[in-house]
Amino acid sequence: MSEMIDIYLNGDRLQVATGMDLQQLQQQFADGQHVAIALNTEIMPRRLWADRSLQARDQVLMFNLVAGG
Amino acid sequence: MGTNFSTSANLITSANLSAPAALQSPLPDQQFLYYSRQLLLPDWSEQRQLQLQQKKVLIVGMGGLGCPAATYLAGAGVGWLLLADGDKVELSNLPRQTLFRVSDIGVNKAEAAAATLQQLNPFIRIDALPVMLDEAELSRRIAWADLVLDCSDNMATKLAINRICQQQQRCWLGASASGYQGYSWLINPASGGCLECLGHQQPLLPGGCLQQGVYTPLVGQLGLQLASMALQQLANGRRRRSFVHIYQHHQQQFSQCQLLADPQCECCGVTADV
Repeated sequence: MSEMIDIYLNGDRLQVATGMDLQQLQQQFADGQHVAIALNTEIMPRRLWADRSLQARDQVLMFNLVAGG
Repeated sequence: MGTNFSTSANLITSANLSAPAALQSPLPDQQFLYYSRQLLLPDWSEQRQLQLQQKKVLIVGMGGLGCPAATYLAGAGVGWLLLADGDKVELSNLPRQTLFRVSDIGVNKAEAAAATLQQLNPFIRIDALPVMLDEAELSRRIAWADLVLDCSDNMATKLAINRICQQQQRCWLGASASGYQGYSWLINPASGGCLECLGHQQPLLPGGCLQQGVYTPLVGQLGLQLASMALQQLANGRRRRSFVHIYQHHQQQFSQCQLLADPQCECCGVTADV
């Protein structure tokens, strides 16, 4: 069984497997949705998601820039 | 005591796209009185007020975002506001689009807003563009403005503004809201990062406020945020890195996140120099 770490996803505390990257996180929690991801106050380009492993206590915002106003 | 002010908003034509009124110094008495509370701020001055009077701002979209943004930019004394919107006021707009009244229903939004704002501040120039801007016209108007505010309600317009501002290397501000989700942003082409770096080339959820509704105060909050960011940008000319404010409804707060450039972005794909 893999070790788990605590992160915060959209303000909610969450346990994920050590070594999970942003792309895997998106696949697990927003599969098929076209979201953007901010990691610790930096919005990460989609192409970098697979290279960014999550660390304990990371703050992740997963959002969808809907149009409206 | 009655005071006579000119209150007629103008419809813009290519013929009257000239420079703002010549800089007057010091401020005339009526204007000094009008802006007196702002002039009392420790970092404000008559000189700063006069500089703001020389600025030209294009606001694209006079809905729930554009109304509050324009109200406070007019009140603060931005010298020339150009308001663009091809839509007409509808009954369902009134809860959020606070420049309009029941009597405005059926009137073009840019024209109705310009008329109301001119009553609010008779010392500035306010023009209405009562049409949906095509890309060529949008490009021309963006080139004219010192600052562009995207208050539109659709992704196609936002992406067009993003693209044109990238081409012209113009800093711009924008916002978007739907349901309980809200965002505002500053994009500075010189710092890298643009709207397309988010990977949002298409509308991502089926359609905005018409389908998902919108939390009434949220558009107001975002519009005020845009006005404040715009004043900071106009007054200080600060070169800031591109960022997005993300509204988190359950915490009733905004998080500011820096927008990192995607080196392979088809729109910007540039190296940051800020």
